[in-house]
Amino acid sequence: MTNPESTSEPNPVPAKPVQTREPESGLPYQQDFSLVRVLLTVLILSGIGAGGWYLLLRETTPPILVPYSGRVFYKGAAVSSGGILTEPFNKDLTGAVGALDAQGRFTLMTNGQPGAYLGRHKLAVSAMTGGSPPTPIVPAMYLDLRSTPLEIEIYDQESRNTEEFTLNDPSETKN
Amino acid sequence: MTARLCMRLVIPAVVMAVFLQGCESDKRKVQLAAIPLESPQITSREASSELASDREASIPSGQASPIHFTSMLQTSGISFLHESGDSADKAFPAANGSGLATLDFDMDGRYDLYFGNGTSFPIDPRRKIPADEFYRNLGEWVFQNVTKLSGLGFSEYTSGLAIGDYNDDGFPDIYVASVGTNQMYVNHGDGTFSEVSSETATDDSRWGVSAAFADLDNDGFLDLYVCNYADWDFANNRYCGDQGRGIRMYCSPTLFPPAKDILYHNRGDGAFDDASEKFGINDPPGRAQGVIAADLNSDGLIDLYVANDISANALLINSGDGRLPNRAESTGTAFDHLGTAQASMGLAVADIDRNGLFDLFVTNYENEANALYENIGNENFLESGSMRIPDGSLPYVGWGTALSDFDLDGWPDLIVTNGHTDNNLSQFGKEGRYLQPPGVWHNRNGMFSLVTKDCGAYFEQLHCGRALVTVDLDNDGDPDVVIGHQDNQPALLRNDTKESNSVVVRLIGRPDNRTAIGSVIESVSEDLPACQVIYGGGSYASASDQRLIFPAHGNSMNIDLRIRWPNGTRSLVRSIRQGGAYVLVQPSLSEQPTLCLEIPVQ
Repeated sequence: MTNPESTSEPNPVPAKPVQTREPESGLPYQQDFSLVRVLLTVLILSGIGAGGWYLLLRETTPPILVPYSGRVFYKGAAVSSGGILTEPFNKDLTGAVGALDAQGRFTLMTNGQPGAYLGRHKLAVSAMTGGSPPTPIVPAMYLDLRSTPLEIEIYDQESRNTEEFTLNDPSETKN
Repeated sequence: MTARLCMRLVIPAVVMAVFLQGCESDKRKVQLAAIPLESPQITSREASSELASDREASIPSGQASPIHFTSMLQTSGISFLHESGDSADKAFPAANGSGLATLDFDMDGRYDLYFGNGTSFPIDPRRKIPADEFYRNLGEWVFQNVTKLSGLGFSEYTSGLAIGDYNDDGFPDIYVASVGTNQMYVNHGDGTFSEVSSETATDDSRWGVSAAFADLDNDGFLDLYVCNYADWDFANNRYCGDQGRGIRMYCSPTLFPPAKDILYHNRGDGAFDDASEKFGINDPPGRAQGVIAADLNSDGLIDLYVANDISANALLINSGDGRLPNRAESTGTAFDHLGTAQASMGLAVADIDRNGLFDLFVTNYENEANALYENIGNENFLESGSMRIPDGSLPYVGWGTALSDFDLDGWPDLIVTNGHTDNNLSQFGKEGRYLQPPGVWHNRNGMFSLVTKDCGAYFEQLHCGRALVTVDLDNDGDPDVVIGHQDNQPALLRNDTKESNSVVVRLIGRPDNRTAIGSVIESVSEDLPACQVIYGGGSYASASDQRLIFPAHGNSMNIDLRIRWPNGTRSLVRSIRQGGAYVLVQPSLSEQPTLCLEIPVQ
């Protein structure tokens, strides 16, 4: 890197180090300032290096699937048909799905593998009656990932990844 | 991931460089600051001046594409020009156009192309042009028009096409679903076809849109499902539009009662019976536009999925006792995720998330997102299109489609051709455009990113697409694409994504149907299931390549394939060398090995 100070003025005589120290004031001199910059640079580069390694490891290490299960209730009864869809807040990750059983229980799967990716997900409940057209078993807002108010956190501790959801009827909430 | 990682590492480095360059000229700082920290999100609007005037083009075309196609039509020798029959009369079938098909009719190892054509209304059977056209693949992306030589060239109105060896003689035959009388063409194996519609008793005269061959009763002979749209004829073509100004538009489909579909049972003696009532289809009838045949509940029997216009889609589960009950409602495949029936057209099937189960993709009308019915097992599907394919379909009218692994990474990608039905929307003060952009989505771990940008020059322009097939036209081990357009030439798109070292497989069923429709092949060397199916029908009114392509993986020179034949027998073929094409012949007894013939590189 070019030192801008050395090119400020042409000088036929070999350049002498410019004395800028002012002992009276104790203010930093140019050379000390350069030293500080070098030290800071080393520190920052070390930090960046560590951060870079962290990012590299994070990017090259496959994200981890962690088991997650839950149960869904609406109006005091288990939601006993349909399924669950999740969408991770981290758009690089794949969402999970799960089928609801007769007791309203579900277990999330991601691309056929048990579990969901770590982190926060939106959660939608897809549950309809039969018939044509079908009637949603749950309030419509829960059907769609764009409108669902449900969110879950997938933790790396499996024991924390169990939750029960009691869905609300928005019309009753208004009243 | 790599690009993003680079950005994350580069950004701090740039900041650091600015710090170290603290005393340098302002000019240098400006240069550093001008380095883009991320690739700009170029929208379709920016990508093409033609798109710039399109309101729908504001949909971002997404990430830079790992998938690339080159247009090959100009030097191909293909001069086909489609005629939809669109006129001021607005005869309803003209809005739907025609399908296309690919088949290796002369068994030379190169897949040939059949382009369905329309005609003006009222249909005049004496008129010889326009007509369907058939092109023989000579290799090196050169095709020869052999329509007359081969005895083809139907000149009424072709809606859809199906390919299958219905008489098990080893040569693929052609079925034409028509606005008038449907046509069956038998392939004699000497380069010629004969029209045998009445002899085979498949000459239904209702408006057929699509068809699919599949052996539904496992007797070794392909049966035939024909989608009939509605009770319509030109004499009863209703006036829709503005009578005061004398301007017509295509009527709403709801003005025409749905016609019943037909299921033809192949008797095995060269003729078919109408077995629609026996199999219990049409419960209820819909305005069917698309059909696909594959085992969708993993019970070893081939099922049917039917895409209907403005009513619930049908999933006809093969019960194995000669019945096909519609279980779309109970399986979650009848409606979208909000419980709404859609106007469905095109269909694709693949294991998009590699869980070993086949999923369904459905193209729909404008303001209806395309649907993905994700198979979660036990005859349960979740409509997860909004999660897995979040962008790029809502403003468009979707037609032909395919789930195909264009970049050979082991995950099936997605392509859709779009185009409106009406070309005079502005005369009625309506928004929307007749010509629309196609879409390509890259599948990364089961999530589809819109990557149309940079896919090639074709994808920077607007089209009015209908038919679409995937086919390895140059036998280089990757899927190419052919797209049919309304009143225009087709697109012939060579896949230039990457060098291939894949394994291409053609199955010959014996005693199963020789086309082996319904067979499932799994590449067993993969860490995740990698299953593919030879399906019947699919896309919109079109028939794709029935060979399967398995991408190379790892450092291994060979892969093992496990086959489940349509009759349920299984076989394992070990150590197939990568970078080759093979014919695998079903063993007559399950304990016998599958005959594996390598096709020499031409």
